[in-house]
Amino acid sequence: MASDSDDDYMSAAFLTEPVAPPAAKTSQLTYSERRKLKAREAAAKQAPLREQLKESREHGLKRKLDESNKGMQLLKKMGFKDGKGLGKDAAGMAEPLAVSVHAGRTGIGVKTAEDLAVEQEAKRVKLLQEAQGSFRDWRSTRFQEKMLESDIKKCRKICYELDSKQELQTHTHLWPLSVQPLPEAPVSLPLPDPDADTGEAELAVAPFETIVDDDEEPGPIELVRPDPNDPTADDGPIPRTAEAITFEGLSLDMQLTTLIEYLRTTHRYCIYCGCQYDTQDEMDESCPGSTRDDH
Amino acid sequence: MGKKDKRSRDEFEGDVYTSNPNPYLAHASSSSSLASAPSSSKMRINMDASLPPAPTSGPFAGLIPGQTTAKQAMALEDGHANPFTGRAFTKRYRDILAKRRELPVTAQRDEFLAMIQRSQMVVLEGETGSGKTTQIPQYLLWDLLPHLNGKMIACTQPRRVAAMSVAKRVAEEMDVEIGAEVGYSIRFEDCTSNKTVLKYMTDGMLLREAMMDHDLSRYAAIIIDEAHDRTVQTDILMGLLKDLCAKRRPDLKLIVMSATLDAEKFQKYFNDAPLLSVPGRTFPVEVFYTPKPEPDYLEAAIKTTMLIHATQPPGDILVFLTGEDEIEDACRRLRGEADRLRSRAAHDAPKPGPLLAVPLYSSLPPHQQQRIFDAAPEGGRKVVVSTNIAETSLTIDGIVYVVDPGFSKQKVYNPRIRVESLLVSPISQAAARQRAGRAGRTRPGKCFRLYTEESFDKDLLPQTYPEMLRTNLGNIVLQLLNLGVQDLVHFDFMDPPAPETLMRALELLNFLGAITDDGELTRTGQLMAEFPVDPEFSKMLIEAPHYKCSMEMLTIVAMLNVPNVFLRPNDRKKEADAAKAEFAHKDGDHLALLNVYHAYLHNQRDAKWCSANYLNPRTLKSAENVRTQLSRVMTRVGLPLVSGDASKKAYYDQIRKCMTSGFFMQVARAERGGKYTTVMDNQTVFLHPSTCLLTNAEWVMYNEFVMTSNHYIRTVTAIEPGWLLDVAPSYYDPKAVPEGPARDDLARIAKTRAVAKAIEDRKNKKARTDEEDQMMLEQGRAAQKQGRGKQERRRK
Repeated sequence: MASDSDDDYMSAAFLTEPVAPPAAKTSQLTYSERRKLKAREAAAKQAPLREQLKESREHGLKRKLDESNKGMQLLKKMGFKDGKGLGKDAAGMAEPLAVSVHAGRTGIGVKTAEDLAVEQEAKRVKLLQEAQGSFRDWRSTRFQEKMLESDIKKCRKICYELDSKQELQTHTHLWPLSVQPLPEAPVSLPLPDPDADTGEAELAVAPFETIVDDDEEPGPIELVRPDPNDPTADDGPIPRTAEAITFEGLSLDMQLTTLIEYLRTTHRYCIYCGCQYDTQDEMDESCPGSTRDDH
Repeated sequence: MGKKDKRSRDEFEGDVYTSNPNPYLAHASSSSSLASAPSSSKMRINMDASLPPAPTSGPFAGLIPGQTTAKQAMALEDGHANPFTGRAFTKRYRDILAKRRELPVTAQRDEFLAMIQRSQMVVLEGETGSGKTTQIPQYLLWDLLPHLNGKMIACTQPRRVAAMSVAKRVAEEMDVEIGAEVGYSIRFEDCTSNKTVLKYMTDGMLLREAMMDHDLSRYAAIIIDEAHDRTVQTDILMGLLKDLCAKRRPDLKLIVMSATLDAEKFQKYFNDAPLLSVPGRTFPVEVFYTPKPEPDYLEAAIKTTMLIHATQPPGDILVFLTGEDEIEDACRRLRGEADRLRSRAAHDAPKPGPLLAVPLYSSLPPHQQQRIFDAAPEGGRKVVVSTNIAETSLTIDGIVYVVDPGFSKQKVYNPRIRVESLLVSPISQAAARQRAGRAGRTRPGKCFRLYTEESFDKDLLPQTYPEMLRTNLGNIVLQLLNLGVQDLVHFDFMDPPAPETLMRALELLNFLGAITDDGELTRTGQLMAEFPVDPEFSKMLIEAPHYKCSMEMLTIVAMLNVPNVFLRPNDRKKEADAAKAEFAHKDGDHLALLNVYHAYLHNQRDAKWCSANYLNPRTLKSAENVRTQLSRVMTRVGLPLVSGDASKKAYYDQIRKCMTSGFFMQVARAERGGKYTTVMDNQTVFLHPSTCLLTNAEWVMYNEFVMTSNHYIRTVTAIEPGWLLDVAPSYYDPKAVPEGPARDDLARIAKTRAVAKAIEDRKNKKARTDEEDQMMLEQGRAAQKQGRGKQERRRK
């Protein structure tokens, strides 16, 4: 009816068209995962008959009789209260006995494939939740780290500029790496490059990968960290001064605090206000504090 | 058919439908009717007045009923002549009496008498073998002397066979003829007379008596035996008697006897009645567990049995398995293994003895069941492979070893999907103990449990759920209403059923027209209660005259209320199936059953013909018996016994339609791939492979929903969806049917019918208006004529 030429731009057909999300999801998955997912879907389609029967049974067993049932209406007329049991003290069971079908000749106490599947599923869900939790944590830490890193970078730059203006050479280890003077006796240290893109997507699926692949005992999940030896990062170690090495050994927090303190005391500069104050008094008056939160 | 077996067996009790007045009272002397008069008129009864006066003469002179002692009774038992008959005691009597005096319960005769004289209700616990079932009723008889004022004592049993065999034994013990002073009353057989003072009967039988005589005024005492079995009938009886004792019969003595399973529960239920414990004659049993769970319990059972056979000292073995096929299979394998063991044994080594493997299950013919009592072969061992009937109801002497895989087939019912089926399930701890106990009947024994000790504690329930929680209650609710129980919600059930189970029962009875929307029994309901079958069946019988098929319906209902008539021996399955195909009817299994029955009569009930055609002559015989019972009820309640013309095309349609009027709730509609879906509960099911349905029927009704890991509907007949709208229009209101092809079908039919009706109406209306038009026209013409006449007259 609708040929390509007379596309109905008012058509609501797109509403009924398959929506994109699944595709978006799969794009984040690795090939092997996509393949597994597909296999699982196919298996689910031809789920053994027993599974289908079980499903229809379980579904039926969960459906309680309600007000529309004639028997319920009759029992209520006899004084039955919904949710209560029968008997002299209404102490009877409220729900009918569960029906469980014991298949095959496995002995008592043997975990059937089904039991195991249920157990495994529970385990998987738990792990997944944990993994999701830890991933979320990791994401937020990573966000903070990035912020710290960018603040540090900014501070280093300002520090170099202001020091250069006053021709100060006492704190060269606070300058950006690229402008730091080389030491007489270089010490090698592998340096993580904060800007190196290690692939967000890979990181994102990393926690899941471990679960899906691990059939036996999914061990504790280890988050994949950016590889310090990533070839895309800097070419080999840079020679550093001892002060620089000590400084970089500090945590990002400490590095930033040191930088801010140095800028504030030496140059009366507040990185968050983004300006240099003329006097200490002015700074005390106008600047709310030394941290990002204060601003 | 299995579904209905058990219940119907319990309810076909006795030939009670022959005459309208209470047949139970027919043989009672007139003095007893007089004696019972005050109680039926609900007067407050003086406890002493209900007991017979102390006889001043005769053999019982000097005894005060209700105040005797063991010494007095034993003196009479040791006497020269039988005080009940006046005849001299035989030698056989004296021999038996000597043995009776050795029973564990004898030592507590005085204790028992003191207890029952002081208290209206007594709970008695005792292992099998304590002698309680045979002795307690006699002790009570000697104390109450109920025959002196025309009353008697009843002792109920859950099983017919037990009622019959115990009665026979007790008649011997009392040196009287069975059916005279001591009698029994079971399905099809009322073996009592006007002399009867002690009556063994099934609990279902006593319930039926209660329907006609709510006060059970003929009885001075009632003993409920095997109460631990907790059948639905036992539970209902206990509830009724508890109420009766408290409100209308303060003179009625009630004794509840159970194995040592849950005596406290009974005590508590019966208002803290005193408890008498009778020790059984048991020996210690050593229990062994497997170190880890068994992957295949059948394999494990066979392995364990062979191990016992090869290594343990002499003594017979009892193996518990779940069903016929499994048991036969195990027997075959055990025989094979034993032969191999013998042939393989080294020449100089001691040869293991021969092994006799005997199966035991309820559908086994009686003469084959007897084989379990055969002696073990010389120097060898006997293995009985049994279902749980060897757990409580049957005692086999010589068993020293028990192999318990921990499973049995148990009935389950779920009201939500309305399935009642036998499922293999783990047994309870109580049942496991009972099984172990079977090893210690003759000497210390051993029990091998094929599960871990941890599983025993963790995976097994403490007690088996009573039948009340595991069964469809349609029939029981009808019985209760007929017993005058109005308040089902607060009925004093020992274990109340789930509310939804009761709802399903009420729903069924309401749509069958047995109860009103206010829950009151209708005339149809009263009629239905007369038939000792499930309400669906009685509805079919009541409707039959409308469809001109009473005779056919009687046959079908009878055939569905006996065990399966078709035999299918393991080694001749093909031949059996071919023979069955001869009886097939294209429209379904119910009609095939009709064919089988006609052929059976046509061949003069010949047993040879039966076995040649793989039919069970015993079940056919009992089907005929049931049919006679049912036809008597029909005649008695005034339902005409009519039959249609088999040569007419509509003949089988009428039969199928009539069946639909009873079983409209058990209907499934075809789906793709040979699947069916039950219409209201949306369960995927398959036709049972045994069906003879030939057509690709779109709509079928079924007699049974069998649930295993597969879902089957068994005994299936094709129906027309339109019939459902005829027989149960409100149930099958398309709006109430879950969405799906079934609903579409029904809606379409309903719509077509509505349109047809509208057209019909309009036609009628048009015919009417045409007539009216005509009349008016004529009236008009007449008026014109008149008018013209007037004008003319005026002109003149």
